[in-house]
Amino acid sequence: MQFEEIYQTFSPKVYRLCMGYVNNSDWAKDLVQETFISVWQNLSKFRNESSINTWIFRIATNNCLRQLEREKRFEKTVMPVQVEEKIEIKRDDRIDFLYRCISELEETERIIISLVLEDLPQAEIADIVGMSDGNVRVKIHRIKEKLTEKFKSYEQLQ
Amino acid sequence: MSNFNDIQNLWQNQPDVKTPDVDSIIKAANKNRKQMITKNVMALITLGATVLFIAYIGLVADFQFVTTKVGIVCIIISIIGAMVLNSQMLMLILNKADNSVSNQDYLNQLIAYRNKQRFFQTKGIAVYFLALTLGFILYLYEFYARNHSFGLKAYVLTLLWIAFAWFYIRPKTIKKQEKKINDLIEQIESISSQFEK
Repeated sequence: MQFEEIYQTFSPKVYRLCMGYVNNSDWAKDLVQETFISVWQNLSKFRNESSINTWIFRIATNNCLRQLEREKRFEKTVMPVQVEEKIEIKRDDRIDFLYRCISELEETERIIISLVLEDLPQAEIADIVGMSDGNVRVKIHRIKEKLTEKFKSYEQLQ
Repeated sequence: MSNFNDIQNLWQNQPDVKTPDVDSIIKAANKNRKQMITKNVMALITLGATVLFIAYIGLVADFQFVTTKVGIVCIIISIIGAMVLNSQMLMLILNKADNSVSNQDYLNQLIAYRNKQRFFQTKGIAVYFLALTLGFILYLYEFYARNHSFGLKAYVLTLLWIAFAWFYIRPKTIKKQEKKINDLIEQIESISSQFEK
């Protein structure tokens, strides 16, 4: 698979994943860029030991997790960027709400649920996060419940 | 929107957001690599220049004693050590984190790396002071041998300054660095512990 093809296929998925993690469009775009810089630089090392899916999502999620080392640096620029974003595109309110709900979850839960929403099989999710299949199953069940509950109460308010 | 499938549909059918185009990613990757190389080369040049400069002073000045020259070497070593500790070089050498492993393994790598960093910073400062003090003691000996009262004054002033730095500046620096690293480790560990819940 050529880099360009990989990028076209995976960049929207990686963007959604990063967006679920940081809930800030500009920051998520930065993360997409960082992820694919890493993919580009390491593509020669990828030896089909795992699927390309797993490989890319591992890089992307690890990149998200590393943000805790940088969060302070970003805080300063968060405000103006978000204001600008809202004027630029009027996204579906429900999508905004979904991202907000996800970003309120714990870090690992954010990653797991974004991968579930991307329709990745449970075994692959377990492989990406490094948990046993059983534990992932329990976690997914719990997060799905949490998210559905939030949406129910959101809709009652509408 | 009362079941999870609806939420999943919403997620998968959201309009695509324009991400950077592929060329700009490749450009950024190349730039990134070049910057890393330039940074390393610059650090090496600065190091080399400092060593040459101090060595030059040592050679040009008319020093008779071996102690003076050994002292200069000690001071050079301590300065190089400080530069390495303060630069990103140490971080690059220590941080071998592979980002294509599972999240849990990656977090463990980050913790191990931060622990190593803490160790090198704390011990590094001690070694730096030791080499610097020893260097000055040896270096100033020739001045002392030539002129007792001048040498004594130089000794007292230098050692007072080093004592001040050791007993006041060093603990403060270590405390600050440790707090930063400990906070980070704590945060990484708290994420890592989410896997066990």
